[in-house]
Amino acid sequence: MIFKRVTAAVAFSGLPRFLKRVGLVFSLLLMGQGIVACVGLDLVKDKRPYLQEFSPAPYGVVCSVAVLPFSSKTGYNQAGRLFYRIFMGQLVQAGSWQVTLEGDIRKIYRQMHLAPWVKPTPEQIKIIASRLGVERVIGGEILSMEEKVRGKAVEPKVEVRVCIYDGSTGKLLVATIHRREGEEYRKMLHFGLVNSITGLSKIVVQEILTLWEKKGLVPCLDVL
Amino acid sequence: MPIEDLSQGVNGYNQSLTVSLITALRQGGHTVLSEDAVIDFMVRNRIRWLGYLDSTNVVKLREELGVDFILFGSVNQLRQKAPSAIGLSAMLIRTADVRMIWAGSGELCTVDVQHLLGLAEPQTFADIEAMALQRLLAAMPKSFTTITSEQVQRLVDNVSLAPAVLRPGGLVTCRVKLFGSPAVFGKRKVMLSVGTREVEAVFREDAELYEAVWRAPDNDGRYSVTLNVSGAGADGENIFVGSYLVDGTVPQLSLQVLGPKFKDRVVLRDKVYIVPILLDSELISHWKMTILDKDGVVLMADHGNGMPERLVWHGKLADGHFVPDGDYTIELSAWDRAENEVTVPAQVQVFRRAPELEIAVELQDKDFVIDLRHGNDVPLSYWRAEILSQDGVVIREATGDRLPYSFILSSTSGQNQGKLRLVLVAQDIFGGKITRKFEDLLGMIPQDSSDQVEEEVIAPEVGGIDDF
Repeated sequence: MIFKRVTAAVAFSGLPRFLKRVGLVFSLLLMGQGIVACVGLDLVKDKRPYLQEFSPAPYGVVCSVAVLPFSSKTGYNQAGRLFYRIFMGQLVQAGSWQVTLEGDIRKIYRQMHLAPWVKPTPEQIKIIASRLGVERVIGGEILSMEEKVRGKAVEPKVEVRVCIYDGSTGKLLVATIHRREGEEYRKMLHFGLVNSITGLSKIVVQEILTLWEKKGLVPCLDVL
Repeated sequence: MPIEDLSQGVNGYNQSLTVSLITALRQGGHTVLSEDAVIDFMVRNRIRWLGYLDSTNVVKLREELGVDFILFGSVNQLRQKAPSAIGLSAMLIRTADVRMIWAGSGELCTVDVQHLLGLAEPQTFADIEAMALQRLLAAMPKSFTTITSEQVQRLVDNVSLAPAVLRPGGLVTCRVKLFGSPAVFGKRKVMLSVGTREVEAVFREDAELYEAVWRAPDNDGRYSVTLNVSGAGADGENIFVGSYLVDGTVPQLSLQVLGPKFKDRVVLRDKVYIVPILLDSELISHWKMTILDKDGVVLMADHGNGMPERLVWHGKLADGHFVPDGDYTIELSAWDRAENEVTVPAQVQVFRRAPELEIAVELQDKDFVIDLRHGNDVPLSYWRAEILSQDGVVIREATGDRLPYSFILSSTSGQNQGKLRLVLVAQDIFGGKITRKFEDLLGMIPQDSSDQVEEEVIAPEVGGIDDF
């Protein structure tokens, strides 16, 4: 009934029906174009992970690295250690690095009376690098980490800031900020969804390392 | 090594996964140490943490138990409730050169595995636990290169440099503990570069470490210390140890006492705020505040670490009693990290007396002249006088902020109202307040007023109430 009334209203508007249809098709085309443009724009805008350089390139060939404990600003249980383990794993897999043992770093932290959640000073970073014989020091913090479970769906979110320091001076070279949600990897239906915080953290680390490789920050990275 | 379980908090242990991992590795043809042997080793070497080992213990594990590789594992995530999830990571260390040669991580959630028609999908946590472990082990290489000859390890096990800040000429101590067997102890030469100087560290057999002690230079500044170890296989590599700061400059401190001022002096009635102001941005190690009387006798003192933003003195002694009115000196001493001392004094006057009000009533030509005066020189903030009839009706009122003040009350009004009451309230600029009540104002008239015209009449205390 309502449809009929609308049709009647269109008929009374004076425009021929075929013109209406052309207009409708044209509108749909425009809308589609708009959606494509928006998606395209979004893709162009998405420059994650965000890299901030504090020292000019080139950074030299570096193959030994120490990863400092990650501090955590979130309430997620053991967030720093969780991300640390995943980061170490991905870093070792990523290339022919000589990665310092976690135990050696924690031992130096104890000797220097440094708490794992405290950001070391440039001089402390220099001491750590010199003692461990590494050229680069990586440190960072977990800005946010959460995992919401709603029925069968899991919504993990991770936001981190990972920095590279020059071991010879203790100065900050680059800082990388990255934020991801499991939903962002959905391809169709449930396909592609990332359903765990560890899985999402792994992808976040891979994306950071890929960016570093592109920027020539970590020449020892072989294949990601 | 036992698998650490982060989901159980700090130092959590997952025994079931450890057993499953050992079984899986043995099935893969690897020789794996028993769980008891590993735990015995951890107890012997006081290893209280899971998930990692330092180089010293890695070498010990190789020497004591003949281990070629160490596999560390951790459960990063464990959710038993649906949808169940598990996250694992593992690291493999070759003991010969103490190098991490492989690391991997694996994770699985029940909703990750979705098959057509829901066939063979994992339903429980046990299903995904086994699958995640299998995936992790599948990612691990089947064979690893074993190194037979032990490579050179890091030289320095521990270094301490103290103090971090000191005065010119103070003693600096650096202690160096090296890796390696006792056979090479003492055969190595340990040199320290301090600015342009070279200091040799002496081996101390009692503590099995090298020690160097030297005097700090006379000039202020930061001095870096670099370590060089040579001999007995050491290649003379320079290692940055740290730096120390020589500081012979006294901190620049100023003291501000906040409170009402009278005759260029801060007055304490209730409390005063003492605000230390550091004129140069220097870290203060500790402070001490002292209160002295006018004879220089210390009445009370307080101290603390750092430098507070402000201190408050309520005019009390350490036992809680109020100090008597008078002049006092507040002294604040501060020491920087090199123990350079600075002391700054400030004067304060304790004044707690209430306004001293005097009243005189005279009969002049059948009228009453009421004369109000203030007994001390502290200015008043305000005063108010009310004359009330016996029924409580206000007959006359006066207010102001200065005394003396006189006003006239006609004799007729007084006679008609019976006894007149006077209520007098005054407050000085420091907050000292007084309320005095006189029940019979006319009774205060001297019997022979003509003889006392020129004299000051002090109001009697009868009926007066001090409530300050």
